Amino acid sequence: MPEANITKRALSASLKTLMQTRPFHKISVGDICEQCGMHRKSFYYHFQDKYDLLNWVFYSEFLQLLDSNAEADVWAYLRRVCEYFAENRAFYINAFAIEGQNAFADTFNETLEAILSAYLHQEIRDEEFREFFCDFYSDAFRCSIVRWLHSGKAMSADAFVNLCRRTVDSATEKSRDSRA
Amino acid sequence: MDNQPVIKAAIQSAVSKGIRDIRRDPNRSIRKLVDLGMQFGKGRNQKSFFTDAQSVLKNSNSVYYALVTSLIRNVDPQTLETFGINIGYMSWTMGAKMIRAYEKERGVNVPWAILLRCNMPAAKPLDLSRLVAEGQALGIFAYFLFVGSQTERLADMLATVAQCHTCAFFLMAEDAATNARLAELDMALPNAMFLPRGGAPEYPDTADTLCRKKRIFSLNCEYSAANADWLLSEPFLKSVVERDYPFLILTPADTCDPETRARVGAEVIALRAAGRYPLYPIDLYADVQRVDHIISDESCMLMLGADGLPIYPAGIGQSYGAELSLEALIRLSMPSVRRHR
Repeated sequence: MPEANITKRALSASLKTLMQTRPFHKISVGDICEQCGMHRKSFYYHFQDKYDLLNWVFYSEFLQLLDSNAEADVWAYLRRVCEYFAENRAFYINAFAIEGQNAFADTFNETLEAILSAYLHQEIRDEEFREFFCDFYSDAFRCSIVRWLHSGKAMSADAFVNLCRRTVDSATEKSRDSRA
Repeated sequence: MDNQPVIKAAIQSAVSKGIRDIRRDPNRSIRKLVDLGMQFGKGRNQKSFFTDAQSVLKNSNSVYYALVTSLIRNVDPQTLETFGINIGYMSWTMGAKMIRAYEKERGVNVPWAILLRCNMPAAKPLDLSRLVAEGQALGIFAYFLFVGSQTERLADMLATVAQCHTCAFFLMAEDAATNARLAELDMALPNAMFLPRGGAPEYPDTADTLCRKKRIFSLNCEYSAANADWLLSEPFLKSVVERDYPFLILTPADTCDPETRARVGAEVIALRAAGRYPLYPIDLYADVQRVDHIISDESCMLMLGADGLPIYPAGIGQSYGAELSLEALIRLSMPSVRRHR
């Protein structure tokens, strides 16, 4: 593995470990470097700040999930995303709690909106409505995911995503009915 | 439902964020985007590209930082995203996968791109939209269109380019009038790279217009033994950089001898490795075949005339269109995969 990816992985693992037990706002760049024995200079060569590292963890692991599910449908992919969130429960509960201009929720929403928009492109022709629908359901999904993560293992990822799917399917069907 | 648009959308959202970050924090974000590509890229072509890029970017003074920063600054973000995704994902990932599957099943090489010489007289010009549809079904998502004063139905051709939004098109102008004609276009073509023809001694005067319209563009020069030394010389390369061209595509003239082609090919590779100029030179035919080799271990190239008759490889005698489908033409003209021979 190239050196850059090794360093990035070490810093990512360090942040993930620290976020198991400590709120994000109480973790400093110094803590992250100390945890993995890296110099601060190495950190700043790769990342602007700890928010940048958090986003890197999300994107790099998220894209890996995409690749391994290349043949599956969108709901199978979202199921894998939720399983991944559940496997990293403490980390993502912590990440979703970040507020302000660097909120992780905004990063996640942007990706979720893009995915939903692509999925619904065939289902909803009205662009303006599709945009609203995507914004609305991205917010709804994100809030539901956070609630689901907080609930522990009460519901499997499979059952949770099936409920989300039924919600979207029934909304798009209703939307078709109301236009007819 | 087909999951491919969803995968593409997710990658596009990551790339979009990467591009925004580069505007704010260039060098670090360029490295991050390349590292992300390395982590996600599974295809050999991508791995090879990202490994080379990582190696070049280890040098913090690399001219490629300036090249990427200038692209991000000068090109419309939507164009950069669309063109980049169409080449990087549609062609080199999804298309490559389809091509490898086809080659494995049918034992015949499939080119990753088609070169189309639309600037030739043709009694009945081929139907581009049909060609692209048939090409996509095989995994071909990149098209080099050579256009000039003899190109018929340019408007229809450009309408096809606009319509085929998941493919990447390279619009290679072959004369000054076409340089201007393409540069003045007002239609949105985020999936197209514009390549005005230039070279020693004159330059196309369209770079400013293309820059103003925030197109992605490259200088396109034809070479032969007569001008190859000049096109590879320091004064010429510096002048290309001064005119804000990020890419230089060199295409051998039909009459160019094999020795000159080999020499230019080798010098282009050396220039890229040396990274002395914020400019990415490409030897068109050699690099098209190099990419093909990376995609599927063996290289092939398909160049068609305006009427669909293959120019490369030559001597096929049957045309795409009325006589043959693209798949039939490929099976007739492309080399067999070695392990099937």
